[in-house]
Amino acid sequence: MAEGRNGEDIVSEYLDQNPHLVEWVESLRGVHETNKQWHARREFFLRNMETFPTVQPGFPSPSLDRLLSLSICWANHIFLGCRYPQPVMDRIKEMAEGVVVNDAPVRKTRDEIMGKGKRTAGGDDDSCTRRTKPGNPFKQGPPPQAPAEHQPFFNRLYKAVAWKLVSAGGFGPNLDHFEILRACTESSKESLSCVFVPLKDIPDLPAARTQKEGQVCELRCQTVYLGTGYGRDEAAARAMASKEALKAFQGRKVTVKICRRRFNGHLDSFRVGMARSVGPFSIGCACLLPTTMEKCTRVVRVWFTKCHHIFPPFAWVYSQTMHFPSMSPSSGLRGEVPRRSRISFPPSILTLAISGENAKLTQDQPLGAT
Amino acid sequence: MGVPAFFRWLSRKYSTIVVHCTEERSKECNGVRIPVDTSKPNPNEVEFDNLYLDMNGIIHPCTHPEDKAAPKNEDEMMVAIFEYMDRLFNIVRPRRVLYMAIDGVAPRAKMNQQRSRRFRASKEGVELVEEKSRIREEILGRGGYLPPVEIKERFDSNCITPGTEFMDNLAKCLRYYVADRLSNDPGWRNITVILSDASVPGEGEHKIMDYIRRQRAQPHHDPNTHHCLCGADADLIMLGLATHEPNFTIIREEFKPNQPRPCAMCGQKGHEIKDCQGVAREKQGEHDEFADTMPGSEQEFIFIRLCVLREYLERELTMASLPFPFDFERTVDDWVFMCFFVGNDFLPHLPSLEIREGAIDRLVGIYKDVVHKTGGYITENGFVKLESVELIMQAIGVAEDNIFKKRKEDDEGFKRRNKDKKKRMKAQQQGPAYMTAGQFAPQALGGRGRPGVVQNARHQAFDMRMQGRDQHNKDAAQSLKAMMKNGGQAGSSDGQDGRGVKRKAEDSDSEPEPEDNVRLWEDGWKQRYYKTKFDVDATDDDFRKKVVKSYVEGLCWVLRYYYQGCASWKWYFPFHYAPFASDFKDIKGMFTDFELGTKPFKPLEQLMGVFPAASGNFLPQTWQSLMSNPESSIIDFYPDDFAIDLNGKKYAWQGVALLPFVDERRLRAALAEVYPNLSPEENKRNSLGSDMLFVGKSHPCCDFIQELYRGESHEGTEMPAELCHGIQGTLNLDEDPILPDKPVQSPIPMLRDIAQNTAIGVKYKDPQYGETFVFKAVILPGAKMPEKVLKPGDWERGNRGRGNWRPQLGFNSNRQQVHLDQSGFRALGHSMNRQQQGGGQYSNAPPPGNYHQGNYSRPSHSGGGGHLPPFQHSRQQGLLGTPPPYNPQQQYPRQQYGGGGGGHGWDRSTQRGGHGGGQGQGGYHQQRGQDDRRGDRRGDRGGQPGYNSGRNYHLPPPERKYNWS
Repeated sequence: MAEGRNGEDIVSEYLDQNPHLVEWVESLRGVHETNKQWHARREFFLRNMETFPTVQPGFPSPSLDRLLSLSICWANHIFLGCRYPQPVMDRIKEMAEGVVVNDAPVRKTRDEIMGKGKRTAGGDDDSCTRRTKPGNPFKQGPPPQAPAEHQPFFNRLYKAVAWKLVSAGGFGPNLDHFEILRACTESSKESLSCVFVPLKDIPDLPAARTQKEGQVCELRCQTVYLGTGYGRDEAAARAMASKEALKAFQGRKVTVKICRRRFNGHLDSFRVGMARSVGPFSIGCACLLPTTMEKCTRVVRVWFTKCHHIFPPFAWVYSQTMHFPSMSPSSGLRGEVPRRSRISFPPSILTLAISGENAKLTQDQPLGAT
Repeated sequence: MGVPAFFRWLSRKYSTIVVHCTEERSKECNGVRIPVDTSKPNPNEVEFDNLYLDMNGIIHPCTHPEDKAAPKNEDEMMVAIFEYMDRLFNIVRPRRVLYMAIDGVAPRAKMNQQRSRRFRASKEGVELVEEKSRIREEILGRGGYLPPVEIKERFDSNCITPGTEFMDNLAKCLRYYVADRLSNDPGWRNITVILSDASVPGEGEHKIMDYIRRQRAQPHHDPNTHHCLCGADADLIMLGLATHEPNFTIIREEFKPNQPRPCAMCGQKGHEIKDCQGVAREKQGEHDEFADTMPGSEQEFIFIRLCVLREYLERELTMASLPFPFDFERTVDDWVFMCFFVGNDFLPHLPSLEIREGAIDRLVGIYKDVVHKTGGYITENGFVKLESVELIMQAIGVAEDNIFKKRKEDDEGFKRRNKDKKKRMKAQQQGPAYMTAGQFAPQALGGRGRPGVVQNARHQAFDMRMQGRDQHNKDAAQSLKAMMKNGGQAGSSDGQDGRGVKRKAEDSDSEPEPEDNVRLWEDGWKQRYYKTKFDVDATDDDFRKKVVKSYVEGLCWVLRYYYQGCASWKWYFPFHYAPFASDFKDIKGMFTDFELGTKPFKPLEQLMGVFPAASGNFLPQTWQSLMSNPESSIIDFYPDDFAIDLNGKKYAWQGVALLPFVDERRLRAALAEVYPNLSPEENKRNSLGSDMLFVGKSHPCCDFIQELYRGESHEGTEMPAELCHGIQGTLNLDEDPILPDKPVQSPIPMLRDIAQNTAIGVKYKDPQYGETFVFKAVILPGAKMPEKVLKPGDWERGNRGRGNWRPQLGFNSNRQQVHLDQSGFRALGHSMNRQQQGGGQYSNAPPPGNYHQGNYSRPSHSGGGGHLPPFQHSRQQGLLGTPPPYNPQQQYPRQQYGGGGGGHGWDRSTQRGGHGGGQGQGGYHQQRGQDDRRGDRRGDRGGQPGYNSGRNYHLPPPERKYNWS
């Protein structure tokens, strides 16, 4: 799978850039680990290394052991079929977001063999953390509370959108998608947030892509990601994003799911915000940190960088000091995009996104191509 | 080592190695139990010097027995253990040494197995309780009857692990036990007792082996010591062979497959817990006289004579026309080594080798080829020659494909036969005989569907009658068949077998077959095996090499462990599965040597390594939290639930538990932080202890040890060899010693304190050798080989007179056979003719009634012929050729027992057979006074050049030992 290799590529790229770590990381490998197991665990380990700030490469420490232990818990869960107490399972599940293991072995635990039927909630989150099905490596599990909080609103929004579309004669290319979406959210007593980023601020676009004009827009509501679009100007980008968002409302219902955007790359230079698809739906590019959306006073800088092997063709790099001066529901948000600077963000950021049955992968429509 | 399988195979193939024990039972007179005087000659017609007890084989059945109700509390368990040991002591009657070894901290290599056992046991315990309460409710809801629940603590068998309070307590109890017996039991008065409790590192049986090995290597060892080792593990046989002691016997409980176990719910036998009906008990016998004793239910003991096994092996392994002189001892070592391929506690067995499929025979065939080819043996003193191993493995590898195909065929044949059998058995009724069937079957009140009106009652009654009759006929026919096929005892236990298999077969139909993704019998099995078991592609040569390398290391480690002791406390096999034999390529350079100077875990550290979080209550609080806290740095060792790979087997307990491995470095690091939290008492439990040596007052060593205590010497003192039958070792003073005339407090409320203690205890350490010392695996000079037992190979061909051979059942080739006199035959004929038509006078048919399937417990062998055993018993004995009741006055008029005089109130008589050709027909006895004992011993042991030379100390007193010949 392309995504599976991606994880490995990221790791090897990372290690290429940090050659001093290679030997140390390799020393953490267990004698019994196969390449596959070790690569997965290594990715897990590296991705989570910063959440254990006291881990010093090359030196044993209790926090290193804790991280190692959790990484082994996770690997044991995936490859040996072990189950741990629920707090541990929650923890490793959280930490493992995005580490993709293809074709993990299917095991039967002792309890299952003994016919213990208590596999309700446990069974679900099992499949979540253990992406064992090769065909569907992105299956996400039931999120903690956040989606549940948002779900009622989105149910209402779904109804509103459905009626609106009926009155407008059904979903079609000639509608004002943004207007429909805006009207519906406002009738549901909420507002839409749009973030625009000029395409030309992307420093390292693929060489083949000469088109530097245009804007990219990301839509959110209640901090929940709705869609991304590209256009010649802001309005076109916003319309495109709205169209994408409305596609998600074409199914029988929309569900708010939680997923993580991951930041890979250098520890000391910049991070790549990587978008992940949720079920059949893709988040597209992450323009904003949800935390900033919530607080509206935080300052964030945004730009594109070359990251086509992760999410062709773009992903987002966050840095500090992008200011959102105002956040009025009607005008949406507009970010200015200053230079890149160095900062570390937490390696993973919570993102909520809606997903509908008919939603298509935005990946199919590369941003720069439209 | 696949415990029952290996032993079953061995005892079927080499049947003469098994000798049934004769056990003298204590008598009761006016309600007072008269203990057996174990200073009397051994009723098995052999005298043992040393008895070694692998205590874990005793502790487990005594604390959580499978065939009877569990003891209520710890005190009862201790008493059960004492009784069990008394029983063994009574059978074996050692004359010099009693060595008790409890498993201490085991080498890391064993940890995988220990973990898997304990993780399972913990889950099984919880499941049993749950199931019990569930079924209990169900039954009571249906109106069934169940005995009330006794309120008792659930015994977590996991506490039988070094470092727990239970083990500490057990050690205390054993010290009390030893002191008591040394003070009060005449049979114990002159023996040396060594107690190696759980605080001394090493597995029990290996501590025993270490002791024997280290004694053998010192010059004072008596090469003709007769060892008797107690334990059921099949690898004891290997260990015994590995010592190269000519007189080595193993005693174990007779293994009876598929013994009916009492239902855990209602305590009745004949059904399992899930089939429990909660019906009232059926009467056992006409007047319920067999209520308490299921016939043959008490476990009996058997001896396994390794000298006979050696004879068999010699026959099988001898190779003619070798380019070098044939050395049987070396081939024994090679044979032992090859048995490890088939299974041991430290390595998973090779997938292509199954004992049941004649793997060992196959190996022996290959082995002979290889020895011819390479011109040498494959092992020496426990060190392996890898080139030869590679040749053997390659030879197996060639056959692997066919082995797997054949296994599949056999498997299917077995399933088919089982199915047929099940069909046949289906007619058999279930439940007690008084339960009516069909429309007369009892139905629960208020159940769904009211019972209908009985229709055609007469016909139904007729059917039931006929069915009952047919059943009896079938039963009789079947047992008759079994008898004729196997004869005697085997027949009866086979009958049991039949019942057990029947039950299993039913299970198999109700439960679906486990899926098998590997399908070893289809092409591409190797790829599939590596993919499913190891999750690697078959092309991943590096990984495969890694597995093979570990396995090769493992083979070297295991053999070294058996022959030289633990080579590395750290080494372990880090995979759950073995590679294929055909993967063993270029293994020569794969192993050089083990890391020297490795240290065992401390007891509590090992507890952390082998316990599941559910058994954490045996550990201090902060240690426990390491097992469950998500912030713990070793949380990965303690999964709640784990996968089980059935690996072609049917039941979860047979499968491979896929448990994570323990990282020693992280374990130690995590524990370093919680070490300060140990209480002084826990610290003490966590420290490494020492073996203890105990002797009674009349033992020559006693004064010596007392002097040590008086002198308060704080350095180790070498044991004077002459005081203790040539046993060597270092003595150190104990901090809280057992001393003569110092009362010993009883740790068990129901047993009294020893007011007049005469035992003395001291710390004991085996003789020490350098780290690179190599123990030689040879027969010691001066060792006399025991007489041959097997029929000479050319005996059939007309040489009958020459070899002077007679079949031998016990230890003694001249033992008296029992005879029925005329009146006996009359009684027999009368009884047989009356109840068993047409059987003929000496028919082998079982006696009538329900009890033909068990073994009868033997009558108490009353010395004075106190009471006549019931008729059935004596008949059974006559037919089965079991040993006669021991009765010195009547059966062995040649013997006398003289009082020893003085404080020694026991008998000391030595009976010698004529050495040489006469085969002891005219044995005579000599009774000696105490003064000339030593000279006599010297004569007895005649011709021991190595033993006597250069020693000017007095030989030890003869232990009260009787030579049977």
